[in-house]
Amino acid sequence: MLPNPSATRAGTRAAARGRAGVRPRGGWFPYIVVGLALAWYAVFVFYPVLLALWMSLHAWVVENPRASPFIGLKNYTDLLFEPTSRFPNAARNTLVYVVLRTGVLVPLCLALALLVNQFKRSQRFYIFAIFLPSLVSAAAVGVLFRAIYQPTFGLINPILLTLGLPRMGFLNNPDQALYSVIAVDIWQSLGFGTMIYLAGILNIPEVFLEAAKIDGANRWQLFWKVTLPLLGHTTLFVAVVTLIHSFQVFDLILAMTNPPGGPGYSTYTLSFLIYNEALQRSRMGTAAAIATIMFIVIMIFTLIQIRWLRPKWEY
Amino acid sequence: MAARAQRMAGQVAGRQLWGWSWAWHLVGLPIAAIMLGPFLWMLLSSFKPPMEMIRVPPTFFPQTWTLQSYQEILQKLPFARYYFNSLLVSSAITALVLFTSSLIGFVFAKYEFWGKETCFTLILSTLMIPFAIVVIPLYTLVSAMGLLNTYPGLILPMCVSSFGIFLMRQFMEGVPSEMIDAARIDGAPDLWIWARIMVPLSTTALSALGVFTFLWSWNLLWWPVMVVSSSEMRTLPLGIVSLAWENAQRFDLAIAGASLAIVPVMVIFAFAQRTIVRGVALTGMKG
Repeated sequence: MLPNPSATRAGTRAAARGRAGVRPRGGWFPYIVVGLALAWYAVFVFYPVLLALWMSLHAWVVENPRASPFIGLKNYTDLLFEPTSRFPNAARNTLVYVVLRTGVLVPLCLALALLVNQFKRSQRFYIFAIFLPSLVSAAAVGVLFRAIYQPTFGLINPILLTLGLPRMGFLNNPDQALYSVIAVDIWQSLGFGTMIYLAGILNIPEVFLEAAKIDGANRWQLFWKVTLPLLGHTTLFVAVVTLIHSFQVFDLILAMTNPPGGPGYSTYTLSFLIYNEALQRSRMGTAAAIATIMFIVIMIFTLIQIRWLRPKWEY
Repeated sequence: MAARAQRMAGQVAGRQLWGWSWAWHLVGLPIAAIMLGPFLWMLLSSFKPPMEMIRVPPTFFPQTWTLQSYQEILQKLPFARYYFNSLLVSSAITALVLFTSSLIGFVFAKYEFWGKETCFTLILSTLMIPFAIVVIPLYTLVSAMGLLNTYPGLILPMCVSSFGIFLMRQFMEGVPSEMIDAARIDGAPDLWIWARIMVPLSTTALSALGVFTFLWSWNLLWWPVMVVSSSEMRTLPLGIVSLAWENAQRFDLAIAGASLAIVPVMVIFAFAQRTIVRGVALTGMKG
């Protein structure tokens, strides 16, 4: 039977209307709403971003910011070449932070998601345990781990001593402080990545696994040849989000280290340096220059994510 | 063929066998202990008297149970006020984010207007702006507005969420336009359609966004550190960090303070786990 052409056309028209939704009938409503939204963005997002760029090129005068003289890229060159600049140290710490936190979290979250996926009745308990630290504020976790890391009365050193391992200084030791913070951050962030991986695993259609099983694939092959490739986008997503998040670490450093950023400058990260330069030393220009550098790096990673996250396959 | 079928049956059955899941518990339980152990230690230690906290070798279970640390903390700091501040600021941010996200998302989902996609791309592109770049200019801006150390200063810069707008647009595009058309023919105003049709039909997405926004704003630390200067305006996270700064050597106080912040979260999570996990899985993309 041939389809009735006019009926089809009417159907298409109806569908088009359905997609387009409410037509603007002299309607000022969308313009008012979007106009107000853009006004908020202009004040609280676009203006601050532009002001940060402007500040990074001027020597900020606190009493009269408009009179700040233009100094070109001096704030940037100061950051990079001034002998007393803390920027190289903070950049190195941030790099260590990003590489370690991302490198450990991504495989660990995948492993945990696979493990949690094995449980049926006790799954709720395991999700509770893994996810609980993510819900608690970094401030509370930081303060708690000040006590847990305390070398004499804390929780960890007595365990290490019982196992015959040497006593550690943790946050009191400039060589260990940064790694102690990263470890807590990993512990606290396991929940999010695991949840996203778990959702990814549940999204894999059962038929793919069944088909592979019928072809005689064992559990090992099933994981490496079916599950892992199909989790490719989830992995890229978790990796990029973790990376961008690690790059901006601030709360834990502030809450956990004593004095904040210490001992010495051993836990200064870029975010912490911005806070320190702007609030403690009133050097708005250099703080804005660091922020601009961070912005550029994060933009590059976001664009990579947008480019690579185009699905190569759909299911 | 028969052997293969048998092996498959064995695998399928093996999943349900008790033996299998017990083996996995051998891996899972130590991990659960690492995740929950610090909280257990915190709760037990918070009931120790200050002298027992600094005893060598340390005790795991308190030998004397006491509320001394809690009493001292509550005398030193206005913790009730911190709870109130956090509750007020987080509720206001959540309510405003839900309001703005659903209204702006509705307009982007169901209206055609000039410059629509450009505006939407502009809003979405702000997702890649790190807080680190806006925090200093935002501070000078809020300072110039005279809003330092006030509730509006804490709330206003957080009350629109690009991610929320994106989420609500995605969700509301799925609501059939016929319902809106019908209401329009009856002469319903735009805001009525939003309040009476779109919002009631979007409760799934709105509750997920609400849970996520509340948790996120409840835990904010950097912005309150910038804005708040007096003790009674502190939010809970800032209050705990200040407590640790002012009493750097008193670990009993740090532990009791952390407990006061963490226990409510544990209780709420235990009762509302399903809602929270669903909300975070849907919106947790923001990381």
